[in-house]
Amino acid sequence: MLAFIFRRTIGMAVVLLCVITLTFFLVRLAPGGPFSTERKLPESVEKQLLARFNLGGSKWEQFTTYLGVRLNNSGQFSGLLEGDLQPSLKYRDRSVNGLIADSLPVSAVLGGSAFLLATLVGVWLGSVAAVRQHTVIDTASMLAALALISVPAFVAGPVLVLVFALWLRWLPVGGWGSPASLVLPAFTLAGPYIAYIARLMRSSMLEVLHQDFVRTARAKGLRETRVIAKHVLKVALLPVVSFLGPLAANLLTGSIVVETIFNIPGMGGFFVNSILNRDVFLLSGVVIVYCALLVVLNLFVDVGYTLLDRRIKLYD
Amino acid sequence: MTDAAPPPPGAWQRLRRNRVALLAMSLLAIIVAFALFAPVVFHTDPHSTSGAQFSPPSVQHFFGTDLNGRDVFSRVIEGARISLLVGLSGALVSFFIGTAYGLVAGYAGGAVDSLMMRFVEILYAIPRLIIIIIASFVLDPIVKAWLSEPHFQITIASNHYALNVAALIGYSKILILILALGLIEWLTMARIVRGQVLALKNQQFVLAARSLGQSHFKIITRHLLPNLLGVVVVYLTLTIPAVILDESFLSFLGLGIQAPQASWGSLLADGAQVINPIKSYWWLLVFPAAAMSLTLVSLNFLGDGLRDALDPRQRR
Repeated sequence: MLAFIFRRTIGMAVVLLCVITLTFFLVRLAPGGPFSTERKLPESVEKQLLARFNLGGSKWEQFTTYLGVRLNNSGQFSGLLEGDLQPSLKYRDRSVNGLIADSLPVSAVLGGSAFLLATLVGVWLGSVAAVRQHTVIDTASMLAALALISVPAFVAGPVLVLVFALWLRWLPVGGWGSPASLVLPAFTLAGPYIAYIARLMRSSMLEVLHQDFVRTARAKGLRETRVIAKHVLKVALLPVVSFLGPLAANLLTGSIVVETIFNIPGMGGFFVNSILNRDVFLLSGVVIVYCALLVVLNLFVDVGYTLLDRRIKLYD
Repeated sequence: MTDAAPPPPGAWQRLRRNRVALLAMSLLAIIVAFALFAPVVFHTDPHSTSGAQFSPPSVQHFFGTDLNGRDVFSRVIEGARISLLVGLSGALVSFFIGTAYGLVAGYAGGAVDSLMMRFVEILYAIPRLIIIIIASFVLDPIVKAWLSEPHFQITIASNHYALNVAALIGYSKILILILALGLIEWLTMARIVRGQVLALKNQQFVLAARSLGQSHFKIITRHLLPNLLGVVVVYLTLTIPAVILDESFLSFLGLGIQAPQASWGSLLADGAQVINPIKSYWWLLVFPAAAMSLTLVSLNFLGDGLRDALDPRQRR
């Protein structure tokens, strides 16, 4: 087990490094730079600015300085390896570390609630549909699920605001701080994933329900609820669990659409705005956070797998 | 991964028995018919402004008018044309790339396969939105330069285009979106195709073809490709709504289709903007949302129905 985790950690580091490299260079393919404005700066000024942010040298020098394996312009090693994500190029006087530290908790609270919502409701809906296969409940919930998948957040969000905030006046239009303001964005964010998990859960549960060990459990005279709860659910959850890693990484790092619609100071907006501003450091920072979350959560998922199903061996 | 199989006989009959899929197909036909013929029948211009600001739905303007007094009905129709065009062509681009990539990886196997799949994994670990936005920025000057080159009129375009080069440049954003989305959306397609090829390539008819001395190219095109088509077509129908969703998402953020042209996403962005507690112009939001959701729901239902019809394991 430990050997497996060790090997995976190395693999994760490699993926992370590739992703950082790719992001760092990809954004430079786009025309325009971080300091190109409507009014063209004098070349010397732009050069000085670039040099101040350690962006003056060759691409390789910039990248190694960013990683923190080359001395920067103040003669120090201060980069990713030392935990320094550099200052933001757009939000002057703010460091990328600071920006992420301010916004990640907001996104994480919202994303976490959406995550719980999606998982619990999705699993429940999917299992009910599977157990009651071929009934009205099954058909109705699966039709609803497919409809839910097809409605994007930027449709669901404004419509929910229109109905629950403006017409019924039950919930606030937007903003951040009170638990009530969390409800609409969390549902908007969770909607499609509830549906996705429900579909996944239903099909996997149907497969498990027809397996021999379930028949054995029933033949032993176990009550149906116990068969489902103790035997079926455990195995049927596996495909859902493998989806939870990417889902959590996705939700916890925020969504620009939901944040825009509900006016929430989260991290999702940085993903888009940093590209628009060619803010290399901010973009790399948020991608690193996203990717690190993704690979770590995927490791958790793999370990969780063995706990749910002893037949799966992660290591030889 | 399931064993790949050619479409079982009776697939069309099974699809026809699926009432939901049939309903979805007819809805799609209606939407496409509207997109194609409504501008001819109703003689409305999505770009002409009038003094009638924000007038609610009436006989004259079925879906009301917007801030600039433009007819929302004809704008929704224009949105349908653009969204459907981008969705279909983007999905086709991704289909070609994904199939080729998956075929090569799966057929070559070994180190080539694991290297190619590692690359897919790394691309998966970067938020898709980031790659799409960067790709559209990179493509922007390239496509515009390519369109404005004079040889384009002679070699590719018909007279119609040669007369309207300037107009075509106005539509360059659509081409850019198609390319950017198609260049990113192939990842899942490649995975699916590779899995199928791995399952197929050791089956006896492929081994027989190989021992008869057929070339790799022939084995791929004659034996593997036809057997893949069922799965690939199903996934293609599911890619179209995904591409439409991404396109409207970009347009919602203001990075896709630019005004005065309309896409469902940009219409929804306009609609979401004018939602406020004082006065809600609901028709600006509800009609584009309904058009888009109906299309996506229908496409997803059709894709689902096709999968059930083509996948013998699902037969009940």
